[in-house]
Amino acid sequence: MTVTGTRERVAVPTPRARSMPTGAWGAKAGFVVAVLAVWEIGIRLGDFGAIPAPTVLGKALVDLIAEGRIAAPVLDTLTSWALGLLVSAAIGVPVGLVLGVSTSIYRLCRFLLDFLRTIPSLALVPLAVLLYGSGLASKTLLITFACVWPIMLQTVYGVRDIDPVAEETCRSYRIRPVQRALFLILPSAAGYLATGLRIAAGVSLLLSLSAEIIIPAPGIGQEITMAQLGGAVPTMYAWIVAAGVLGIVINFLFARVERRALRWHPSQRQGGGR
Amino acid sequence: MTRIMRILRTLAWEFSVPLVLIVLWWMLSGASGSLYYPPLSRILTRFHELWLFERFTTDALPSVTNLAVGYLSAATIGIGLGVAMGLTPWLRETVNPAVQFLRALPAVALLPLAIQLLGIGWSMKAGVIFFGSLWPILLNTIDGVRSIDPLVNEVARSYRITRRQQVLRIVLPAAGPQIFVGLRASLSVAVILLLASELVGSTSGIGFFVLQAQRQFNITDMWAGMVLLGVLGYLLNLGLQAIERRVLSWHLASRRKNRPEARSQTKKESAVD
Amino acid sequence: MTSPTSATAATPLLSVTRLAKSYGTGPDRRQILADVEFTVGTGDFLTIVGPSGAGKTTLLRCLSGLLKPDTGDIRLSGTPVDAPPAGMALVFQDYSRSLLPWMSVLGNVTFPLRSKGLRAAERESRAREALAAVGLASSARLYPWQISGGMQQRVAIARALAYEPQILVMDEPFASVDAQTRADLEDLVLDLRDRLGITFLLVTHDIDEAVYLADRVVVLSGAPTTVTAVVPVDLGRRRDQVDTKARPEFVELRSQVYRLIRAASHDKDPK
Repeated sequence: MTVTGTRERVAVPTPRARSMPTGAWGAKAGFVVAVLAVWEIGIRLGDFGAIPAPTVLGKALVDLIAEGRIAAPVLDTLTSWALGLLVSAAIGVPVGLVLGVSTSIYRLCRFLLDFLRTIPSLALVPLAVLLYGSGLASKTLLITFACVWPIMLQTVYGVRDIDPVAEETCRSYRIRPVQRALFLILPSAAGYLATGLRIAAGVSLLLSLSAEIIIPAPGIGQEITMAQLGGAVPTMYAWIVAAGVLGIVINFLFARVERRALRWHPSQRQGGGR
Repeated sequence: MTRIMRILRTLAWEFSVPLVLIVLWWMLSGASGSLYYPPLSRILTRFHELWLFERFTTDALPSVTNLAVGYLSAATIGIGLGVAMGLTPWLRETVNPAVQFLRALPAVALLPLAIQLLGIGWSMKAGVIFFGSLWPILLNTIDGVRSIDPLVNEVARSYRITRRQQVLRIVLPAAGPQIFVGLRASLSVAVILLLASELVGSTSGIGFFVLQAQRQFNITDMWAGMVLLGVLGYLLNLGLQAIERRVLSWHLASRRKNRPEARSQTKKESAVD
Repeated sequence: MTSPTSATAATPLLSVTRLAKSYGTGPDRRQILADVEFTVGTGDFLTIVGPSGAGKTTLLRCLSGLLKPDTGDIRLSGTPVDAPPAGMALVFQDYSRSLLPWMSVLGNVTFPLRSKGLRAAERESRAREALAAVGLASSARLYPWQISGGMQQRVAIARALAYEPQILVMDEPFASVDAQTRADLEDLVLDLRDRLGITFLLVTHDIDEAVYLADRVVVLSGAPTTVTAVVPVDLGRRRDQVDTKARPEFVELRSQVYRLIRAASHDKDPK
């Protein structure tokens, strides 16, 4: 079974999943080409409002890259993305460790945490703008307020979820606290933490773009808005595609890290006994 | 008697920190003359004046309606499509690349596009919410359907259970826990997108209200709106949790009994995108 | 509480005296162990059998220091056991969870030795020796989940051996493997005992296994548990899955233990 519920990880031994022939790549590519072709032909035949044909969109994207206009906004977005994620991890992991180890502290804070994490981060936009203006600080604040929760909760789950038999094994062999942290708690929680980071990475990008569109702050989001306001429709689509590619790359990288951290996990094992 | 005492003690323990914080906020904000942090007492008075229920119908209700329309249609289509794709390997494999791109695309990036296409009315907001919350539901449903033990489906086949019955009585309940993971993840995305759409292109809604209050330096009103948003987000989650507890009561009970199951489940729950 | 061992000449390696343990409070209180007493001498192979629900696991957790008993005294070489003692190694029934899945077979065996303060080279040579003793010398680099259940339990035994305990305690160690593997593992344990002279304490619910392995069988009653009888097993040191089990003495001992267990569970469980 797919323990972590991620699509990337569906190389899990369900018979149907395995029986997919190599021709599948052909089918996938075929589907994508077919969609693009229908789209292109549709636009050429009739008028679908503001939607440009794929070729036009592609040209706009190539222009963005060729003119070197793509680098600065992407860098802006990535900076706030990374900074927000880093701050979230710096807060979320230590607090999560404490909450995971101590049940009474966890219960003391449970209601507060449940409440805080359901507050939509964007509700803080007006306050953030008021306090920090429209720069990196505002974006980082909004991102952190959203990303700290998945990281913190995953850390709690990870620490909590140590197998009691493994725990007793360590106790009966008189494993010292440092060794226990290093060889039991950390590996056990690493998978959860990696999952939390992957989720947070996606949320962070979503909020970077949101902040850029809403505040507005420099970055891809602002470029999308400006292209739309300026009537440069193909350029707007090109920026949207750029945002999508960024999302895919980030997701892909974090899924890989997660898979590495969970190498030993039943959902990741290939071959060998079960 | 002892049980009541125990429950009371638990409650006292769990609510002590929030209470202390609220009291601290009350006292600190009451004393400070800061422009940005008005006294909590004034915020609550404004909250009462605004939302109970003078501006409730004009500002809060449209927000909630848009959210409901977008989220519920995403849930319906996401679960329906997810079951179909989960049960049909060729469909799933073929559509997969497109799905992967669309779900990795941050939905807010489509806001300007949606405004261009649909204007700034309710359809734009519901549409953006729909688009953003569809993917977690769809992907988790597919995942839930696929991870059903093949044996269960073979039992169904050996008893010659009809396809319809199989989907209703076996596939949906078995995939239920994972579907709810998707529903929960989608809810928070939906609230983010509701706010994003109201902050960018709108003339009504709580988000619009809050932004306007800030631009007019009506700081107390801004705080009152933010408090409403917090309460709203919390209540929505509570509601979904109540539904989940009803629908999945069998699952929660078995989970409590069976620790290994619980292990994988905690992980699953948190593995939302 | 210091002089219950006056009957035996030398102090036994492990002594359990008037052990009692219950769970819960008030009306929910359930007495698991009522009054358990037995001793294990150096070099002994003691097995403990009892009807299901006899609190065998509770007993084991108490005497390995993982669980605090309500009353009673447990001593390993004369020292009271109130935390897991250094001279004891435990083999759990659930090998798949007691081996850490993110460590190789070798890592799992060496890992407790770190806390003993051994140097890396020493750790590895001891672990390799232990793995060779259980016939797994060539699997050191594999991960637990890459090998069969029987092999995993061998790893757990190797981990216990490498720890060089005075006594090796096993909690239903072969309950989760198939019959053939089980027979192999039983003979492996007897062979280790012969070659290395280790003291064994093994809990099982299988009467055949209890008699086949033991020098003495401790028969428990149903909960609240007491020791019903201690049955000496005079079948000699060399045992064989087919020949030993065909001997009339074995058959007689088996029925004797069976009758004791049945009588004990009837007495205690009238409902």
